[in-house]
Amino acid sequence: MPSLAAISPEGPFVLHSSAPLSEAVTAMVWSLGAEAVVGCADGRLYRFDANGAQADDWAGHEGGVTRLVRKPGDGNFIASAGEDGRVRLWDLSTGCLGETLLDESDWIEHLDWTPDGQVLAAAARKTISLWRGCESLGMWYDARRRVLAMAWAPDGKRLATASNKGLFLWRMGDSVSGNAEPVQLLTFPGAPVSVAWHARGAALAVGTQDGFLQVWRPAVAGGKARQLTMRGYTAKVACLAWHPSKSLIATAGGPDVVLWDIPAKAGKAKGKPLRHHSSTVTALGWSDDGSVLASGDRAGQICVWDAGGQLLCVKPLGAEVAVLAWQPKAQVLLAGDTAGVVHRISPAGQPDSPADSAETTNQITDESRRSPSA
Amino acid sequence: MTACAQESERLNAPQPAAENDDRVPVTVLTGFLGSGKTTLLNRILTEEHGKRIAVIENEYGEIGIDHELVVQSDEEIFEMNNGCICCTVRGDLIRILGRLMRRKHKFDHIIIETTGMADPGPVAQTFFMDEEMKQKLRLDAIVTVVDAKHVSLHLDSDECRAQLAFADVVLLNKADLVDEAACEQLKTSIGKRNRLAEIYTTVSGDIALDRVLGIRAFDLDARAAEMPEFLREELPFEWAGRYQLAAGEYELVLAPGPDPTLNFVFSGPKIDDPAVYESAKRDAIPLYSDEPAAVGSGALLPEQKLYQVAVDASAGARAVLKVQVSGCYALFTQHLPEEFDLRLRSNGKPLEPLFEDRFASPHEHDDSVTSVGIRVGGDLDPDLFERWVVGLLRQRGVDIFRTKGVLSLAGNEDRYVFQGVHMLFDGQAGRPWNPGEARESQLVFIGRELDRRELTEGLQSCRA
Repeated sequence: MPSLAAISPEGPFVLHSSAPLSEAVTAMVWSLGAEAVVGCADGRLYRFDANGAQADDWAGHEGGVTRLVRKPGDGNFIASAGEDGRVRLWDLSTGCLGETLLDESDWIEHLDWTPDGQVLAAAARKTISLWRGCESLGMWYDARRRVLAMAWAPDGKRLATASNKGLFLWRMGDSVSGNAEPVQLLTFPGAPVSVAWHARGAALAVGTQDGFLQVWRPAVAGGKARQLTMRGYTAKVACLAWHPSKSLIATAGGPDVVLWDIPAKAGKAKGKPLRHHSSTVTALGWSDDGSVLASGDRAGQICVWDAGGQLLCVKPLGAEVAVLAWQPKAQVLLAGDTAGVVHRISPAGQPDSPADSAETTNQITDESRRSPSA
Repeated sequence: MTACAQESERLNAPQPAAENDDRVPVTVLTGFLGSGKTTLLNRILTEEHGKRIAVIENEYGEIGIDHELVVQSDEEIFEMNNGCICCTVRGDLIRILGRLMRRKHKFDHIIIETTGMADPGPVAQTFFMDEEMKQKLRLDAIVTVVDAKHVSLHLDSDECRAQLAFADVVLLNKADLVDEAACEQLKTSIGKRNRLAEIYTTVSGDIALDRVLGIRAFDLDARAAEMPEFLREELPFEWAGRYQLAAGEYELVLAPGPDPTLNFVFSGPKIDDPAVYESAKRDAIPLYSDEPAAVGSGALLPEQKLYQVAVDASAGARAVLKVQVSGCYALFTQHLPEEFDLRLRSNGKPLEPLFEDRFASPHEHDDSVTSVGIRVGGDLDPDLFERWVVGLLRQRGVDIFRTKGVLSLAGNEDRYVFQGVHMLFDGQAGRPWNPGEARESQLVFIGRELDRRELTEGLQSCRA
């Protein structure tokens, strides 16, 4: 079994890289027991144990793995979705592997668990299938719109879906397999490619193909819901990552990571570009405690920043970064690349221990462009 | 440089040289159901070419090859929020191709098969508009398969027009089901709509694969290098007549015609030598972009000059041509002789030409898809050209399907090669101009309701 061997000990973070897996990495998830499951473009799933050694591998899907999600509250339970149209459940603790919940012909491109782990949603084309445990709750279907991105609200009761020219909200309790009608939250030109909820549900962000960030803020007492539109991106806004506790969102559409401090009162939105990547950023993620942000790019470079946007470390990996995943409650980052290599980046000296929270500065730079709208 | 006509990027941004290009080529295969598209695709997939090919198809076909990948797509058209009404991309392709290109085991070639009804525009634009597609993939060519037997039934449908207009290669398939004359007629008719397409007649899609795959049709510099006469069939005159003339004076007589003037070039002697004729033809081309010399009552000599004779609406026109040396002379006329009942007379007796060549049919002012090629000698001013082309494509981009050109920009030692799909355009520096090579700019538009005069005047106004 290949294991993660140290190759580059310089800098405040240490990089270990695995031997290449059978195909490019397409999805990754941590279990609570510090194990990691990695999905590949050939459908195989690989389990790495808490020591970073490759422990098992399974035939997960025919065609690539599109998503891997851990069930909240039950850290050894994960769900996978694939290009074979299947959704499967895996219990890492009992070895009960691969129960198939759904078997469709279309790619399952979206998969997400409610934050309480009660309900799993999977979307393919215009259909959203829902389960509680292994029991089907039916499905939501909107003949007019294809689901292009999807995310559960922190309350676990609302599912946001983004479709061409709009952002929609489905509510648990909405009729399933009937004439469910999602509520339209936002209208915008162009096609969405990503969607993400603020950690406390205080905002919802959508990135679009044509390089815009649209943010919906729900109505607060006596006010109206608001829409903020941010522009200035050089490519589709494919990466969104809300800070786990602040109203701060990291976004990328091109080589710059842009931090937006979304104000409590709509008005001036502030964008701060973090510049170091020279190719398009392909993955973004905050550590569990929000102290550090990781970004990976198409040329295979990883940057780690503090919450104020200060660059902490740069690691070249060699192939396009496909997925980033921070270990829960730790500062260990896994990065999967398109050559099928899994890289583990951890703070030098104190592997697996959280670093002190970095001081935030939240300065606004002159280069930032903004266009908040009502 | 890639830019939407709404934006305005500089014309001389650097591009990777073709030889360092590791982008995966993509062929877009279009054609109506029953044209033989699937037969061709099966042939491509089963032939021993040693390439890993991925096929993305719009509809379920009968294809199932083990070592290649077939993915179904879902014609999902996204508008781009940049104010262009025609800047659309295919969202399904971006996602599917994005996943394909993030694999460790790369494909050597990707084929996108579209349905008979699909507009090739959004498919082609996807490779210009999405940053990731642009970086990882290279649109190789748009190949359109038509059924030689039944295409005439569809020829006037919008879908068929669009598919033929976009094509870099047209396969006139099932050629065994029609006779040779009908085949030739179809070729001419398709060639008129799209003068840049290579047209091949095939039976059961049987064609050498190097004629449809890896042809770099969107790499104009490579293409233009193979054919020095990029606009080889596109001549500014419609007719050439060759006459054997003894020394003396001749009368050129015109009846009233569709235009108030007629331009012509008068060349000779020794035109009976085919090489001299070809070079006279070549020399006449740049003369046509000069300001014409108005014809008065004096006799005209065979000179390097564009003459313009005013044609009276009731009386017509006459001009005197003077020949000092007996020999073979040629007239290169702007229009076909029958439009003005053009005659050359000697002492009142009409002379018949020894040979005549027709380079174009009479004016076509219908709304069908045509192509218009323009040539302007000398250099263009890059700023003027950019302003003109941006304005033109913004205004007419809906009707202009494809634009291709090789330009001579003032101050640049390299040829500038230029591509457009609707309002999007893309240009880059090509090979250097050779020493002694005549610098000139050539541009071809393929689209609906194109006004040759307007386009010609527009390009001429960009001269440095």
